[in-house]
Amino acid sequence: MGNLPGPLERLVEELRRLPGIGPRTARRLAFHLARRPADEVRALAAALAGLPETLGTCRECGNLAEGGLCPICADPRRDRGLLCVVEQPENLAAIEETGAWRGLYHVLGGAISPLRAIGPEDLAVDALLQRVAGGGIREVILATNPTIEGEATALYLARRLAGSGVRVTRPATGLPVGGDLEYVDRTTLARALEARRDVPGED
Amino acid sequence: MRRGEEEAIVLDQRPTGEADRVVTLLTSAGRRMVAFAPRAARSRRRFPGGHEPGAILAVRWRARRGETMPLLEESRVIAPPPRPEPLDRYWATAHLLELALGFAREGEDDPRLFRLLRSALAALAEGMDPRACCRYAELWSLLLAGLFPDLDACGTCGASLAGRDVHVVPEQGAFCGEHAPAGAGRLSVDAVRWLVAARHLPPDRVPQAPPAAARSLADVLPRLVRAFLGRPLRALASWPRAPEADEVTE
Repeated sequence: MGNLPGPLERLVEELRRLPGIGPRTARRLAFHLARRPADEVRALAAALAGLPETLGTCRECGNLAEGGLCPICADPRRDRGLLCVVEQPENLAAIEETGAWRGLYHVLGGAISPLRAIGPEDLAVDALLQRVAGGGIREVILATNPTIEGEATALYLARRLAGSGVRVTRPATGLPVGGDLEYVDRTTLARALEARRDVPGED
Repeated sequence: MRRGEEEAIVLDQRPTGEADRVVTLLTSAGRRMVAFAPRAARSRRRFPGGHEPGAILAVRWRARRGETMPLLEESRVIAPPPRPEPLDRYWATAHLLELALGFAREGEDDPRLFRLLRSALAALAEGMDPRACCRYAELWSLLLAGLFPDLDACGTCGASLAGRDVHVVPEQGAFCGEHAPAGAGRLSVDAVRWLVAARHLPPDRVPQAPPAAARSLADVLPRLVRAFLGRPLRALASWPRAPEADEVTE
């Protein structure tokens, strides 16, 4: 760098901090913004500047929220007896996009990771147990990622929720829709075989 | 251009960019390799099964001359990581990987490190007591690095320590009760007997240590490892914080 005007160089440095943005992309974005009309750039700057003040955490589920409750927790049409536990708000957004889930969520803020010294007490586990103890929940779906860390976290939560009287489930893992058995990795295939289910025939 | 195809164990992985991964491997040569796996989160064709820590993979990599980080072209799972059930096994797996991360060196081959980790992971997957497996790996990591003290004679008076409690101080050695410096870790006779057995047997054949001996091993061995690494052991530190995980088997 070094040969860019000061404001542009500062912008490149800030953009480089964003995930997925390398030096070249940061430079490209900075030049793009420098060419846009001032109003457009100001609107982007205002949206960014307002984030820390306007965006917080939902007091119920830990999702990102504007105000005390996120739109999902505030929605009276949601089934309050179903709770889907996810690691991060991005996971919640992915499930929401399916349109298949009408219950509530609980965002843990990560997964148990001994290699990174992240233990259960670093996650929103107590808040989850309190929500369940508060009553009204029939089922908790442990939708942590299908990684070893996610599996271990789900196992830990299942153990903590045992005896609470709620049904505890985990989404199925297995063969991708539209996939080909030949190209499925052996771990996924083994899991799919373990989690096989009956196919009802006609009487 | 350097190229390689070999077996490797995933020690760690972290996401970078949109779908890329930086993967730390212990190669079959016993060398630590930090490799870049482009689009690893998306490409199920080149990286089926992903890069889960503890997985044994067949990897193909290349590196241009002068490049510090090899590029991972392809990987295939040979053995998945041990399932985290019971949860103690999860913490133990993390500890084994942390040991390998600490003892293996980039650019230095030691195939014995690879064989140690591979056999410890296999023993864990086949039901070896997770804590005993950790002690086994700690002992052998120290032995291979030449850091395990000689337990035969007192470092001060030279008296034989056979049949006696042994007092160990990192970087100083082993001592009899009379000459043990303050703060030395004590290994009971049973603990020493277990260490002797573990030096001569594969992990899956090492007998269970009696509870008191297991406690003294759990005190002394990690202390020796910490002294070498110069930092706390993260997996061990977070293990007791989850007492609900599993009943301690010691």
